[in-house]
Amino acid sequence: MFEHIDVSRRRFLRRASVAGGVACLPALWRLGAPQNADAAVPADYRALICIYFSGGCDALNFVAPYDVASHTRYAGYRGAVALARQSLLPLQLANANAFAGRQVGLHPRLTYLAQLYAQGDMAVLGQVGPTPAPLRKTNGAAQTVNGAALPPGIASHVDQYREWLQQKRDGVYWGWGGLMSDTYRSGNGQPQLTNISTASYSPLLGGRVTSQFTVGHDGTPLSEYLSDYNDSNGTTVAIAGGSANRANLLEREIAVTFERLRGGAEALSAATPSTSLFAVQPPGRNELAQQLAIVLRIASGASSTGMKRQVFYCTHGGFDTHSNQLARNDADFTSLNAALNWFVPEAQRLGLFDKTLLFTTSEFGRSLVANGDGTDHGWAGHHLIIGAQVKGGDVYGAIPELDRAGDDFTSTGEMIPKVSVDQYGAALARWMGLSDAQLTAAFPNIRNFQSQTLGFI
Amino acid sequence: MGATSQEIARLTDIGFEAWFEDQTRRTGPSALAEFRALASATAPSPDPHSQGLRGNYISANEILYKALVTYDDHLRERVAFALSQIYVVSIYDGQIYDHPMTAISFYDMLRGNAFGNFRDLIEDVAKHPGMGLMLSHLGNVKGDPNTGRIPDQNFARELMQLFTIGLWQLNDDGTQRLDNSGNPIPSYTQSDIVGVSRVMTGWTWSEENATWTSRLSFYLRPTSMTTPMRASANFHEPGEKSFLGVTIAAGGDPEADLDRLLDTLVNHPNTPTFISKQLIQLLVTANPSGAYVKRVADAFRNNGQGVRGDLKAVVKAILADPEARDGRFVAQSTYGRVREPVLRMAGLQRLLRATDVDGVGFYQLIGDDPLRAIAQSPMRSRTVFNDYRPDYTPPGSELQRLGLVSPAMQLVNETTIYGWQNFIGGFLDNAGYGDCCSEAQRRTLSLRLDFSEFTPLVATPEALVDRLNLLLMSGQMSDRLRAAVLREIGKQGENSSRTGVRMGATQLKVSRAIWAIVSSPEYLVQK
Repeated sequence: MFEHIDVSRRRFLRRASVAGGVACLPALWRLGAPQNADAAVPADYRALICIYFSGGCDALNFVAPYDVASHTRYAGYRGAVALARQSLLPLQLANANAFAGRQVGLHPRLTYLAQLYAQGDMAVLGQVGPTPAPLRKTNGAAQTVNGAALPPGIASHVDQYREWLQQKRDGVYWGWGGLMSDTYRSGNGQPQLTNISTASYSPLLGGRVTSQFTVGHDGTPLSEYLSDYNDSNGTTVAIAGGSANRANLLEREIAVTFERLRGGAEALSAATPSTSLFAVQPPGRNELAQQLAIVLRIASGASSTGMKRQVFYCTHGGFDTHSNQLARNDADFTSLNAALNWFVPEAQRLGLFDKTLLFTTSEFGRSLVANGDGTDHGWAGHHLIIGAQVKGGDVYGAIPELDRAGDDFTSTGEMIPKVSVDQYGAALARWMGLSDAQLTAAFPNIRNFQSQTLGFI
Repeated sequence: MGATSQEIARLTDIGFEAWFEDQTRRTGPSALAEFRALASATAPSPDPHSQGLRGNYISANEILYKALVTYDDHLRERVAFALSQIYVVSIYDGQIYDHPMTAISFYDMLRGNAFGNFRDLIEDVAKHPGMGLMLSHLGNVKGDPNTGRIPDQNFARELMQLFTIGLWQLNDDGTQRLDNSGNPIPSYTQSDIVGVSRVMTGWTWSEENATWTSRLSFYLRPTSMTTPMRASANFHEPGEKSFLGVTIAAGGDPEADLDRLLDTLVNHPNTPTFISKQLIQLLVTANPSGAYVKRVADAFRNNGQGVRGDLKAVVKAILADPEARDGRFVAQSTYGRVREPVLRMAGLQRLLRATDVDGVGFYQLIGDDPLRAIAQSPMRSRTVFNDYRPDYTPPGSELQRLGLVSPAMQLVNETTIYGWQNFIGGFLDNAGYGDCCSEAQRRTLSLRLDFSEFTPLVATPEALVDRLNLLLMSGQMSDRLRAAVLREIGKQGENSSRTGVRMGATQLKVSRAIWAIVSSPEYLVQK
């Protein structure tokens, strides 16, 4: 854990003087973890980088069954969509008996990721998915042990996209990356740049206070045309801003976005170094690498504007592989591997690899049973966490038993989560410095699980 | 799509009823024929962005814009574009990208059904090879009990979730029905999806033989790409198929099984409400009242002559409703819909009578890039879920607090606001040399805009703003925006555009006035 500074210097001095001196400091600390958004200003810089696999990444061909017994069953279920066992990149487990002898191997295109795993900079989180509580299988289907309702729309793209990246409170969905950032946002020099998407709208990033700031691959330039207008005569505001005076709520929201843009874009442009920052330029025609490049540029300039905590969101691939799965996975994993093979060395060189955590998400894994040359929608999946701070070189969570009649799959072939997205998110949020109380506020369902941090950081 | 002086005059002249009837009778040219003509043209495009390619995804984009901008059945085009956002066949999909002819054919099919019956529409959607590629039921085969392989569920799921009944049981006002614990009630379960996926087996290219052994390269065969799929009993699931309380007996043939499935979906109580509400959101307003939704869904249930699914009656109910036409609704703070980039672009080209100089005009740049373009192109969403979802609400907004939505706002963010302002400025400046340069210079462009309706008004700036206000904003411009636009018109000095092409000072004033209007939230929300 990083050193937690509860109050800003200014607040501390003011409180201290009212209370009569520094002797009151320990008492202040005992008041408990900060709940208020403006209470914590951490000393160091940390950033989470979410890579979202669009379309539902097939966990079983991403981190595939490797032990002979599992692979044989997998090959039986998968037919033409099975990867050959000898092509997989096996992952050593810290404890070979941890998962009843079951082992996994990476997709053959993920050679650099296998290297990251071996050198301890990458962990695998197995069998994770949205669920409010631990599950057990009854009559072929999953049920929560505490009777809580299952997430709505299991195996539906839009619903599981939301269930993965958002938390529902009082009928409203908030991105958990946003709820997380609500707690430290005001400690950032440019609060409106706290949560940044390189890929248009992301459900992850909007909280109660925090909104998403969106950038293109080149950052966000100012409008060439708007700069023709002289702000002093109010033209700019009349045309595009003035949110407070707009009665129509749809118009108002556009104006709010415009104003956020005006505030953030200048600061971002000023603080973001150019691509000459890089020793090696990101691979061309690799959209993920382009996204990670702008993330690295922004992160490397962040300290100059007093940024302490940021959450970034990137997307990758077309993983909705109902057909032609082997070729499509090949392409998407090749580019994922190339993007990270560029990103990690650059992040290391820039001193950012120990200040950032990459983590992957996707709306669901895919069904155990193939439909010909593809697979259909599933539920739980396997994911990766990458960074110097990761306790890498091991698999956390679970490795499923490949049996539709067993406990790890529904009878129709969807993998049943053993780890909840809430636990996954909470583990990342704790690394970002959230207190126990803040964690529970952001992820109330973690109370239903034994482990709240999963141990991978 | 976007008003023009001529169209407003015509509507005023003949009245809504006659205008609507006239529009629904018009059919416009075949977009597919136009696409083929463009594809077969031999001269490479002079535009460097097209890389000399013809008949490809760029040509498809041109034809779709040409339809939206120039076809004289523009209400049909507008409805077909809305349908293309519910029934998504996207040129972004790898297979369709390589063969966009099938997407153009799909668009023609939507146009043909825009004022037809929903039952015909959904059957044509289900059988279209473009949809078969998009949702992978083309070539979907029966399960294999030996290997455990099961039919592909992709189309089965989206047919229910997106195309007909939706995820949740609905009340007639479009709200979700709730159970005794206050939870929404699913419309279907995984086992219904399995049942439907078994129905959707056995369909493939129209030119394939019954044993699927023809060895034809279908990707080179325009007939297969543009005609309904055919079914083969050899690959159709032979067993029983159960879904939504219906069981089809074993041994049914694929056509009859599909008919039974589609009849069930069309007659499902959700369908009129689910489809009507989305069409209202796509055409008129993001947050229609429950009563408005019910009125339109009633027209779907019965067009007045006992016919269910008459889309002409549905569209008329949407457009003729007081909530679409009465100023009191327009003034409500929750009224309107965000005008999406494609419709802004098409509307501006209509306003400025865009003409195609060299046969490859009509905004041939693909508009996906959020910074250099407009972040949207017709029939090019990333997934079957369209560019935005009907229930999107901006996080942290007042709309969200009130439980309201602004679907197309999903396309509006910090990047796309500047992207639009930058792009449209260059577009206006670049494409309309108009009063400045030689014909030879102008011929270097593929698209030309015509400012001549407006340049005479520059001498009377109030009249210019009045005209633009009427055509771009239905006369809803605020005094403050009006003052800002007038200030821009009154500015002196600059007479070259940012792109370095000299433009006459008069036309530049028009260009900047339009730019200021279309950059404003007042314009960006269609009311």
